[in-house]
Amino acid sequence: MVLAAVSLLGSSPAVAQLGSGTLTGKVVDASSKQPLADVVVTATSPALQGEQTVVTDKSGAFRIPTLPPGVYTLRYEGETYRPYSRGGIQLLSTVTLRVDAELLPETLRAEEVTIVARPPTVDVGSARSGVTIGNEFTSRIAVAPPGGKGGGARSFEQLADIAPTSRNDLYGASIAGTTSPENQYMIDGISVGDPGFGYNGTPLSIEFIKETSIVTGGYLPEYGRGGGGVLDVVTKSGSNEFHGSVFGNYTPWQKQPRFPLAQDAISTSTRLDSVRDIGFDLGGPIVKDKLWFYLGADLSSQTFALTRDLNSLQVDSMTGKYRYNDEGFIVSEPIAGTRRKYLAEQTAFQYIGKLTYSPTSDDRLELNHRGTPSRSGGDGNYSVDYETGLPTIYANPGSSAIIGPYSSQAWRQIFDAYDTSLKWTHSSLNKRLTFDTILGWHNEHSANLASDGSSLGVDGLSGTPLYVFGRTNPAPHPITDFENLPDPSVCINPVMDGDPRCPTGQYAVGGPQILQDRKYNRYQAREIVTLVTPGLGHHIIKAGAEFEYMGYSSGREYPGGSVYLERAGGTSVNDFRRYGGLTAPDAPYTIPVLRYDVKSLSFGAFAQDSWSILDKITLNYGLRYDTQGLYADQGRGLILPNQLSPRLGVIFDPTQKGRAKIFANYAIYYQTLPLNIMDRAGSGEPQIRSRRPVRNCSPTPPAAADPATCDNPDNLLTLGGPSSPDQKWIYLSTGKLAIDPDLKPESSTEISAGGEYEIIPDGRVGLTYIHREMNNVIEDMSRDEGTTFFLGNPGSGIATDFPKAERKYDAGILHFTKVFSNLWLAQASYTLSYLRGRWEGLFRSATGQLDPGTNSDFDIISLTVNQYGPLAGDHTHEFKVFVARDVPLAPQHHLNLGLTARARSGTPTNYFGTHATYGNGEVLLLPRGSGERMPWVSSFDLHVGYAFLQTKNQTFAITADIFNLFNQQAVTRRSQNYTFRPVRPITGDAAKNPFVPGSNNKVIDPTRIQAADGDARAFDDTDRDRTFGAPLEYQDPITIRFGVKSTF
Amino acid sequence: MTKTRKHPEISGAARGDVGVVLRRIVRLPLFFALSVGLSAGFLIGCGDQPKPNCITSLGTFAMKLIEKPGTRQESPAMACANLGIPAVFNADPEVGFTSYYALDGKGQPDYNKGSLAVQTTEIGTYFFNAEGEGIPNTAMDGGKVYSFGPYAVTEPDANNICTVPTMSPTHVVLAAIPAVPDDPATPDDESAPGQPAIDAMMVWTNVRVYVTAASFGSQVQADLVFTRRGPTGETCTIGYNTVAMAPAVPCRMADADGNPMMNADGTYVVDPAACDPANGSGISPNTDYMCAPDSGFCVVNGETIPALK
Repeated sequence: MVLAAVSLLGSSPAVAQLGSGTLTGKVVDASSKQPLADVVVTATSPALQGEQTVVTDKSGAFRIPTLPPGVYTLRYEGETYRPYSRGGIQLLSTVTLRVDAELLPETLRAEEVTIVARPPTVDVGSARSGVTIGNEFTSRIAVAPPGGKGGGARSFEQLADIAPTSRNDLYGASIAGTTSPENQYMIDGISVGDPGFGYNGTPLSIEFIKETSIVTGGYLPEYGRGGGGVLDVVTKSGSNEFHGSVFGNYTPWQKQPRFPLAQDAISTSTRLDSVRDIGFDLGGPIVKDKLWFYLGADLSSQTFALTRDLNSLQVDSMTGKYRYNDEGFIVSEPIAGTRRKYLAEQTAFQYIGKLTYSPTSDDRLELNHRGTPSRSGGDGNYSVDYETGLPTIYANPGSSAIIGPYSSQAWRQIFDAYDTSLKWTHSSLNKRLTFDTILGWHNEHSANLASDGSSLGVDGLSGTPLYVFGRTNPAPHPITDFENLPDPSVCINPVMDGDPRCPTGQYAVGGPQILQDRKYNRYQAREIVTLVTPGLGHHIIKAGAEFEYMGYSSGREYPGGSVYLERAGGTSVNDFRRYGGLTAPDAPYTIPVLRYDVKSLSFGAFAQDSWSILDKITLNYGLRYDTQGLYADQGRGLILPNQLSPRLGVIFDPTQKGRAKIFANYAIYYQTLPLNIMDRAGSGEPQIRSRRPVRNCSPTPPAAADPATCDNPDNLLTLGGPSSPDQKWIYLSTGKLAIDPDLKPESSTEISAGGEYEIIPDGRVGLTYIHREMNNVIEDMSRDEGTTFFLGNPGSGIATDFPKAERKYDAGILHFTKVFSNLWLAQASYTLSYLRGRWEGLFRSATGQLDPGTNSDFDIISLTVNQYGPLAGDHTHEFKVFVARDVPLAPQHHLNLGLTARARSGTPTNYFGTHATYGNGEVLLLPRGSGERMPWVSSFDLHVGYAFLQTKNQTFAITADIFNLFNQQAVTRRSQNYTFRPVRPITGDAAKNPFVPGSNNKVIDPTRIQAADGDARAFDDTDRDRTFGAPLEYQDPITIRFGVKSTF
Repeated sequence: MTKTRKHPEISGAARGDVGVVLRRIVRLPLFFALSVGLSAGFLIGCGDQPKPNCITSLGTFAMKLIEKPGTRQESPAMACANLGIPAVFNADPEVGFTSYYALDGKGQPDYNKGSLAVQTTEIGTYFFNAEGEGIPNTAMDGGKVYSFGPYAVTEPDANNICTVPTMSPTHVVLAAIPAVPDDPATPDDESAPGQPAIDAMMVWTNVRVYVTAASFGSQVQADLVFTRRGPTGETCTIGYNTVAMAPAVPCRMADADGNPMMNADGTYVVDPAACDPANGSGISPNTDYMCAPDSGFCVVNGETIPALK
C-alpha cells in the first residue's frame, strides 16, 4: 500500500561542490500542499560514511551538500506524518538534484493520494555544458584506445573526446576550439596540470576513477582559472563493505598501418605491437561508518615495433632521372638484407591510496596519495614519449626515421607524478554553512636522458656531441658513406649526373639531441565557504580564496656542449646548437648544462551566487579575481595582474518540474601561463655559434665527432663582418625576454545559450550554441628577423604593427543523452562548428611546437601574412554516437554490447612554402585554408562483454574492444609543402584565382610566386614539390583489446 | 506515530570535538596563509613588468655623426677632408654594438654585469684588409679594432638608459697595403686598390643605450673623439655627438645597375619608404627615424635619444 510518495520535480539551484553532488528539495503536506518545517531528512548511500541528516526550514526546504557521488536513499520523517524513504537516486559529481517530497498526514487515508515519481535528469540549475562519464559508460563502451597519450594505462584524459565539442589533439583533448594545454586537470579537487606546459600531469587510469566530468564551457568562478575546458575527476572511495576488483587488459595486435613511399635512403615504419596492463583495487571499512580505505595499483606496458629499411630510389635506366608514381612520389624499393627491427617500449606503474574519515556527521576528511611513475627507452629500446604517447626517434615523437646509430637516436624517458591532498569539508547551521578546505601537492619529474643511462653532465653519451651530416649540394650523401650494404650497386646511377639513388637527407652520429631533466612542484591551498540562505527565493552563495605556488627546476644540455651540423654546401660545419656566451669579443664559454629555477605565485578569489527565484528561474552570477606573478631564474619575470572574470548565467525551467531548461551564459576566462615561458625566454637561452671547415670536423661513422679538433680556435672560420667586434663567434641569442609594460593577461570571452528537454525517461535532447573568442593573447615577437624578442599582445600595446592574434569558435550542438537505465544507455551528438583565426592556442599543430606564450606564430611580421583563416582544428561537421545495451542471456549471464560511431568532415589544408629564416612549411603562400579540405573520416568501435554474475556482488567479465572495426583508412594528413624553396606569400590581386587552369587547384601560376632566397632565378615549376597533396598519414588501423575483470 | 530524531545540529555538536580540534589545527593557519596570499596577490597585482637587462640589438646600427662645434683640430687645413673624415665613415655608417655578460656562480651569464663593445665598419675594414695581407696592428697603447667597457648600471635607469662611461680606445696603426696592378697576361682582373698606411683612433665616452621592450637596445648615443694621422704627418681630430639606431637599413635609391644614385652635392638620392616598418624594415614603429641623405641610411630623427614618435 502506498502511504506516501516522493516526487522529483521542480527547479533547483545547482551549484554543487567540485567533485561532489548536492541533494536538495522541498517537503510539503500531501493534502494541503503547505510546506513542512522540521522534517528530518536523512541521506544514506554506500558511498557515504554514516548518514547525513538535516531538517527542513520554514519553507519546507532542505539541502544536503558535498555528498560523494553515488546512489542515494533519502528518508523523510516528520511528526504526525508517515515516514517515507526513496531510493535509487543517482547523484553525479558537480550536480544538484532536487528531490521534493509530499508527506501524508497519519490521519489521512492513503488511497486518497496518488503520486507518480521518476528522477529528473536535466540539471536545471546550471548553464554549464559538458558530460559526466561514470563507470557505467566506461565499462560498456570501448574507450581509451591503445596507443596515443595515456594509452598504456588508459588515462582519464582519453575520455575527453566523448564530449561533443572535444577532439583529441597531440597533447590531450582540445575542447571548444581551444588546445589541450589550456584545459584544467583536476583530481579530487586539486590541480594536476603540468606546471611547465599545461597538459595533464597525472595520467591516472580510469580503473581508479568513479567519475570524470568534462566541462566544456559555461562554468562558474569556483572552477578556477583556465582558458579551455575542465576535466574534473573523482576517484573511487571505500565503503562499509569490502569491494574490489582484479583486472587485466591485453592488446596483442594492430594491423600494419599504411605509410607513404620512402623518399630517402632511410625509412622507418612504426606499428603498435602490444599493450597490456594488470591491476587491482580494494576498498572497505577500517572503522564502520567512520574510516574507510581505498587502494589500487596497476602495472602497464606498451610496445611499438619499429622497422627500419634502407631504400633505393628507382631511376629511368636511359635518362638516369627518377621514376614517379601517380601521387608524385619517387618510386623506391627497400634494399634486400638491410631491414632492422627495434622496439619502443614504456612501462608505467600506478597506485592510489585514499582514506576517508568522518569524525562527526558534519566533518568529512579525505587524504589522498597517488603516483604514476613511468620509464621508457634504454637498453637497446627506443622510448615512448610521455607528452604524446608516440614512439620517439631522434627526439621526434611520431613517425621519424632512424638515421644513425642507437646512441644518437634514442632517449631514455622518465615521467613520474605524485599527488598528495587533504580535503576537509565541515558543515554547520543545519548544513546551510559549509567550509571546504583543500591542501594539495602535485610533484612531477620528467626527463629525456641519453640511452646509456648517463645523467645530465659530461659523462658517457651526455658528454658526446651530436654530429649531423646534412649536405644537400651538389647532392646529399649516399647511404654508402655511412653504412655497408650487401650490394652497394643498388645505389649507383647508371647514367652520369643522374639523380642520386640512395640520398641520405640527414645522418647523425654521436650523442643524442637535447637532453632535459625537469622537476616540478605545485602547492595549492583553497578555502571555500558556502552559505545557503533564503531571500526572494533561495541563494547558494559561495566565496573562496586560493593560493598556488608552482616551482620548476630544469636542466638541459646539448650533449658534449654542442650539436654540429654539416652545412648545405658540404664544405663547413656549424655549431647548430651551443648553449654559451661571450664575456668579451671572441671570448666564448660553453654552458655544459643550462640550469634554471623558476616559479609562479598565483592568488585567486571569487564570489558567486546561485539564486533560485520562485523555483522557475535560476540566476548564476559571480566574479573571479586572479593575479599571477612569474619569476625567472634571475628575479622577477612577468606580472599578470588584475584578472577580473565576470560570469552570468540565466536558466529557466518552462516545465517547472525539472524536465526542461532554457539557458544563456556569459563568461570571461583567464589562462594561467605555464612556467615554460619563464624557463626558456624569461630566463634567456644564451646561444653562440662558430664555423669550421668540414675537413677539420668530420667524423667517420659510426664514430662521434671529436670536440678537441672541431672546436680548435685555430680552425674556426671568420663569421663577423667589418663592424662586428666578434669575428669567430656570433650570438644567436642573449639576454632575457623583454616584456611589454602594458602586457595584458591572456583571456577569452564565451557566450552560450541553449535548451534541454527530457523526451523519454532518463533521456534528454538539447541544442546549444557556443561562441568563444580570444580577447588578448600573449606571444613573443621580433622585429629584427628573430634576433631579439619581446613579449606582448599581438595587435596592441607596443605590438600594434603585428596583427591581432584572433581565434574565434562558433558551434551549434544537437545532442541526446540517456543515462544507463532499463538496460541501455546512449549518447549522441552532432556539432556544426567554425574555428578560424591566426592563433591555434598553446601549441602549434603543424610543427608540434609546445611553447605556451612563445610559439613561433607571431615571431616576425612576415610569418603573419595570409595567416587568418580556418585553423587546423576546424571540423565543420562532427557526429558522435555511443550506444550500449545489456542483454541478459540467463539470470547470471549477461552480454554487453557497446557501439561507437564517429564521423567528421575534413580539416582545411594549406599551400606552404619555405621561409628564408624559419625554414620549411612556415610561409602561407595563399591565405590560410585555401587548399582542398581533407576527406571525411569515420570509424566504428565495438565493445563486446560477457559478464557472469556469480553472486550479487561477485562478477566475472570478459571483454573485447575493437577499435576501427572496419579498418577504415581515410587519409588524415596530406603533404602541404608546395615548395621547399624560400618564397614570399602571394597577396592582393595575385592571390585571386592563382591556379593554372585545369590543374585542379594543384598548381599555382609560377609567375605569381616570388623567390626569397636572393637567387636571381625566377620561381618556376621545377621548384614545386611533386608530392604536394600526396597522402602522408591514414587512420589508425583496426586494433583489438581483450580484458578480464573479476569484481567482488 | 514516528518519533523524530534529534536535531542534527545538537547531535553534531555533541560529537564535534574532533572537528573543533581540526578547525583549530588546520583552519586558522590556512586562513592566515590565505590572508598572506591575499596581500601577496595584491602586491603582485600592483607591480610593474620587470625591466629588461642592459642589452644592445644584435643587428648592426646605422650611426649619424654630429660634429661638436669647436672640437675640430686639423693640421694642415683641410686635413680632415683629405683623410676622408667623415666621408669614409658615412659611405658605410654601419656600427656594431655588442653586449657581453660576466659569468655568475652557476657558470651562466649574469645579466646584471654587462659590458659593451663597439666597432665601426670604417676601422674594421682597414683592419681586416691589413690582416688579410698579414699586416699587424702596431698601436703601442694596446688599442684594438674595437672599444670595450663595462656598463655602469645593472639595469636600465629611471630613464631606461644603460650607460657605459668610458671604453678602451679603438686604435689601429697599420702599414700600407700596396696596390696590385692587373696582369694583362690573364683574362681576369687581378688589380687591387691597396690601402694607405692608417693611424686611426676613436675614443668613446658616455655611451648611453636606450633599453625598453619596444626599443630593445636599438638606440645608442655616445660622445666620440675621432683622430686620424696621415702618412705624411697630417692630423685631424673631431669631437662628435653620435646617435645610432638598429637595424641598419639603407635607403639609397639605386639605378638600373644597382648602383646608388647621387645628388650633385655628393649626397644620396634617397628612398625614405625603405625605412618604413610597414615595409618590413624591422625598425620599431615607435622610433622617430629619417632617411639621411649624407649616408643614405635610416637614422634617428634628431640629435638625442630616445628618438620616439
